[in-house]
Amino acid sequence: MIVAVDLVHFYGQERVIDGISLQIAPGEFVALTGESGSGKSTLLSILSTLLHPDSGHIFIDGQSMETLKDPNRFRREYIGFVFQFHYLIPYLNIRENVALAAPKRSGEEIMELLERLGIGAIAHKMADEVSGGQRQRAAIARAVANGPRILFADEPTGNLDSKNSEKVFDLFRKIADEGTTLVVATHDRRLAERADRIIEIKDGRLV
Amino acid sequence: MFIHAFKSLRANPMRTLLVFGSLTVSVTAVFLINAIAHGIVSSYSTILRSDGDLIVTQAKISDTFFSDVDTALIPKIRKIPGVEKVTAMIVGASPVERLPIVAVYGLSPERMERYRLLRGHYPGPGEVMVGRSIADRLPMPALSIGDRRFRIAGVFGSDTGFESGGVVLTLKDAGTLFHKKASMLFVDLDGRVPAEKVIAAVAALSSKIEVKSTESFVKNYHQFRIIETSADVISLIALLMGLISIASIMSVTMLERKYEFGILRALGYGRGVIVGRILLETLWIGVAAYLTALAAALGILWILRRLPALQGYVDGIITLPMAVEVGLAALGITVLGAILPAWKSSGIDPMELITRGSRA
Repeated sequence: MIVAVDLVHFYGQERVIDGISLQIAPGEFVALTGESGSGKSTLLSILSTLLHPDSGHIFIDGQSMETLKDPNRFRREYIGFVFQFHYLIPYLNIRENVALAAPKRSGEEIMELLERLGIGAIAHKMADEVSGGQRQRAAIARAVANGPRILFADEPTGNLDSKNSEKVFDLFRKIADEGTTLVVATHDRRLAERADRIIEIKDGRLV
Repeated sequence: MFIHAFKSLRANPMRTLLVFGSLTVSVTAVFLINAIAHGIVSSYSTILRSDGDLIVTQAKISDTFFSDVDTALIPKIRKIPGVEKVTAMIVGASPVERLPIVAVYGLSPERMERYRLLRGHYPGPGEVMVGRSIADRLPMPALSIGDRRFRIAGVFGSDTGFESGGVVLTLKDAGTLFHKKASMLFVDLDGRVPAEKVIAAVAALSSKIEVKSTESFVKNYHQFRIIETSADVISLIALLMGLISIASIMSVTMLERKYEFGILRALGYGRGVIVGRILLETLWIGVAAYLTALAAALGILWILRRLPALQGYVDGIITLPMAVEVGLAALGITVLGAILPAWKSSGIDPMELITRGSRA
């Protein structure tokens, strides 16, 4: 369960998150929608502990994010994140990039995951040697490699064509159906409708 | 992690080359400065240590080159209980034929035999023997030192650069050249009387002399300290320049890699792990640069030793303790140069790292 209470965040003088409170149930697939600049990416970053809010509180499964003793360990064990731009490490191949997120997993387990996501054949290629769709699948593989309880995705289809976007959402649906909580920020209303719930943001507030 | 570090270095060849180059140049400079300084000190102290338990010099002089000791003291010193042998030496420098400066050693007959005769015989009055390093550059069969002509009696070899690049003649002839009786007297002890007692007895012979054990003389010789301190200061400057170069390159690199650090932080890697990864990368470079610098310094010293123009005087020596010390210093600047920018760059929120890194 994710509970956010009265979140506020500024970029300089601009109040980009303006008192947002929300709850997301375990295993729920939620889409955050809104226009570009509405604050959905910032909210996603704050909910996923990648950004500290200027004020407000977040509780994940009852744990306050402010009093976490080891936020890195928490991220490692609880959270997966898919970025809009794949952000694969350029000097590592696809398999190494994915293994980076789950150092305790064996090579076979990583390969199995890549096969499951349909990118086993490109495991030994570098990020700049594969297509945008394959890169995003690799980024998803990296995000789920450590078996996170919550998966966040920020505009994961922003750089993909409609066919690849559909495939990515198919994958998300499957991940959610397996019990992972999923929070996806997207401006694509059609894709958002495939989630269990849509939360719309405008000017840093919930609509 | 080792392989990742290696891959990262290979992926950024320009950065790797710049850090490697900066470190190699500064470590080579440190090696050369210290090796040459050590060589100078070692060469001269080898000459001083080669014979005699005590050294007698003129009192209150800053350099043995200016020392003038009366050889009339020799028979008096020989009579002191505990003294086995007394020899004398003049140390000077003079232009010899076309060579602008050559070390000139005037020796009492007993000291001549220390030199390994390669051909000819030991010099008598009006004769010199020349060191191997300069023999080919001198005319045969006679040469001029100052305004005097000497017949070349032989050629000698020595493991000491200062000697093999010099000329040796009799104490009397050297005295005429340099207008003194002796620069130093060397006293051998028979071990039956404590050295302190002999030192006191020799010192009591004249107020114009200073007597020290050879070891104490070498350890406290002011010129050696100046050379060693100068080498240390120049080495420090070279290391600081290396450190600044590495830190500058790494700072720019860290800006470029902020998004990578952001990803690692997002994946749950702590700041320490990220700094550790960067350290590992720079340590790879550090070790490679250190080994290259060591090889380069050995090569340059080998060339310097054989350059005819230097007459074998620049005889740099890299000792094991020096190699270890320079290695630790190189490691230190590598770690410092990398750790500060890496620590600074990896400390903010992952998402800020990613967005700032993307803009860089």
